[in-house]
Amino acid sequence: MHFLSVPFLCFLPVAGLLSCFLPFKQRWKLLLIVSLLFIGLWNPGAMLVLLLSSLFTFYTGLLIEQNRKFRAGVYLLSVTIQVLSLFLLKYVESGSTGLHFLFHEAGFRLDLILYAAGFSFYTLQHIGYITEIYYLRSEPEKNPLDFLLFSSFFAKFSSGPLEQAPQLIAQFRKPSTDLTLIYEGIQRVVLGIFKKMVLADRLSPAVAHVFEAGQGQGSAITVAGACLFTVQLYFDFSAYSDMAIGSAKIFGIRLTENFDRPFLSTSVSEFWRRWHISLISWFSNYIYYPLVFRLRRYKGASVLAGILVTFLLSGLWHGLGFTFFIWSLLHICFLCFESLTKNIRLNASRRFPTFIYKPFSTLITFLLICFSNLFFRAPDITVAKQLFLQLQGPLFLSKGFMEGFLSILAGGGYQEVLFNFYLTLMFTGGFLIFEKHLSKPLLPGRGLFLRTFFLVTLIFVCGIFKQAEYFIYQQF
Amino acid sequence: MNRRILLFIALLLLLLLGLEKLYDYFLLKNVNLKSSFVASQPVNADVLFLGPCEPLWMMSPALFQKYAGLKGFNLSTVHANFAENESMLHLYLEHNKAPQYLFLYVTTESVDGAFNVFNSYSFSQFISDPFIKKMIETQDPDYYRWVYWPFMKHAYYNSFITFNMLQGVKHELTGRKIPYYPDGYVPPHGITWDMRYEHFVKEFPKGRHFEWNLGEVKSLQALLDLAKAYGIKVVLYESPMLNEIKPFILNRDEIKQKIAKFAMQNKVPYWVFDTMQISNTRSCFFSVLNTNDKGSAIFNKTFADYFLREERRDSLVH
Repeated sequence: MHFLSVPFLCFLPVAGLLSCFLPFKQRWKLLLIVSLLFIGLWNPGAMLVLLLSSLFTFYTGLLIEQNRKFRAGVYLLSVTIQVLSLFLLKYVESGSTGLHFLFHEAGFRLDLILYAAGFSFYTLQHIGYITEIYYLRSEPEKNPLDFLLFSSFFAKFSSGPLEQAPQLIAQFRKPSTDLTLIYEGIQRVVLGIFKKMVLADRLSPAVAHVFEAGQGQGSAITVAGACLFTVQLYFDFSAYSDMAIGSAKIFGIRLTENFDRPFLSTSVSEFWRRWHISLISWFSNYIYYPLVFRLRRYKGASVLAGILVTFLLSGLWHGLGFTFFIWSLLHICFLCFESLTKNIRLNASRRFPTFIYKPFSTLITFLLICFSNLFFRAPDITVAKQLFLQLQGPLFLSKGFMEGFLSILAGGGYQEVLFNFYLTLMFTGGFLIFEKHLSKPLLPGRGLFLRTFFLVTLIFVCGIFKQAEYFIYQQF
Repeated sequence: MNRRILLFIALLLLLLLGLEKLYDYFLLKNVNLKSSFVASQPVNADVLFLGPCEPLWMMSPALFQKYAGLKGFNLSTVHANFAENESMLHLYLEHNKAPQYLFLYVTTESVDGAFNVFNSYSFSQFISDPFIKKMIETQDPDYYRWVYWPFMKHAYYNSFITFNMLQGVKHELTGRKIPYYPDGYVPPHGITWDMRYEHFVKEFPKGRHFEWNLGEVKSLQALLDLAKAYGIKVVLYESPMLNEIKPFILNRDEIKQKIAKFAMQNKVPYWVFDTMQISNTRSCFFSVLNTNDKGSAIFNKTFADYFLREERRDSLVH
């Protein structure tokens, strides 16, 4: 069941209403049933993989706590198994024929692993869970059902946000009784649907035209395609997060925020503090900080090593393709450069007025992110190379440039497609300008009523219904 | 809280129902929308040209009238399969007198099923018509599931429909009665070589087998039956195709034979113009299946001459 499928949009209010009639202490049972139903209806195979993985992690956690002698060995073995299974999933997804063949010969149901939706997200949470226990930062859960609910909670199951077990389980046991949370939840869900259907999916055709148009489209179009994809990715993924956070709020559960207006970042490191926050926190907590701490005697080099390892692993987590490797290398370069030039940039920021330095840094950061996303979006290295070579062409306007520019971005330049393209740009620009106000939860009243009414109307009149079920980040 | 939620739902429903009526009304007023135009104003042509984008950009009723003396109308629509052709013909026949002749474009591509589709959004304002409703139900079941929900028949494909509705508003306000392309023909002015040949060859370097799609054949049969029911003389034809592409259509002869056999069973003529001289040169094409201005002018003359010759021979009498 996807967030934008009809069954889910019917299932959510029904489950929400049911939970209102249950005593607070019993709500977790409903949430567990609802979550298992959500996954089971989507893919029974995925549910089986989730159950096995959750049981394994749950008992590993207990074993680490109880067995003082072998706790390091159990911990290492468990992490190795989880990392290997994650690697296996990514390897199979990357379409390696050798492994496909091996599995097929061995009679395995490859699709059970392939379609284990959400696997890479909850596996990271499981690794985080046993790491916390191993380092004695938290205690293992004693109730397997609590832990199963933590792993399977429908709102965050398929693409996060990544959560910490103790905090989330405490909320399951004692959900918020604040009624305004339900209002906030509904607003977030509506906002998520709006971002996905009216913004992200409307940008999708223009992006597809650039990335699939082939050679000879010029540098300006490639730059525009990369920028539009970056914005599309943001709307698509933040829409998913909004729906996840909103759905959870309806049940009185607060999930971690995943985005904080990342395009306002004045540096790439700031961007990563505002983009996919829960994943970056995970990588920071379990890879970056431990590594920097261990290498602390090397001072500056420890930071660079931390960046290198963290982003190589982040690239691997996204996929085994060479394009993701280049994407992670680019970010390593950006972040290392920022780390090495920290003092110079600080001086520059003092020398220039804020109204010049800040927009300039924001623009440069945005363009760097867009450039890296060229590799993130390219289906393979051949296309990535082709797009990269196109960037080296002249950017200057020539005769007939605008016609050609629009004809590629707006799929042939027909009137109705151009109209849609301009409308999309208008919505996108408008939303980015007023994002702070549109995202701010309102209390029940005329403002909330009007804003929700306005967004719902726009969804019906301008939303894309045909492809709305597919979220980009679900492939990871 | 409950009152506010109920009020919200009631207002939303009201808005959606209002929007649905508004869209229905203004889509019908859009004269550039071929389905609306033929369903709202008398065209009453002697000859209809029907098919997907190839005849839309190739068959000029004005040139046909000049050479053959019969008033024509080009009823073709972009990317349309036979089911859409049939729906267009149905709408036309509901509001116009039946034409004498129907020239229907049939080629290896159009019976394959992978190239043309039923563009449901062209008919969202006609869903109350049982014929159209039935057609959408079979051709686009995903969309059909939504058509009874308030406004969803327009919302589902709104990226296509909203522009048409706004154009309908403009036409209503300006009192426009004649479409931008009055006889339905869209001349390929300024369209340059579109690289589809190169893309096709890159995708299928060893050529492609085309399918004799039974669903498409069934739709073609239904279309012929509809035309016959109104006493229209149908001619199946294939326009010139750039010779360079022919080696890449591996079973072209086999499909052509099947079309010829189908035509014979239905007792309709099947004219093939693929041996015309212009097929040898790219200068007459902007795509492997589409002639440019120069090629279209030559082909329209040849087509009209052939028609007159066949009419004289009386071979068009079924």
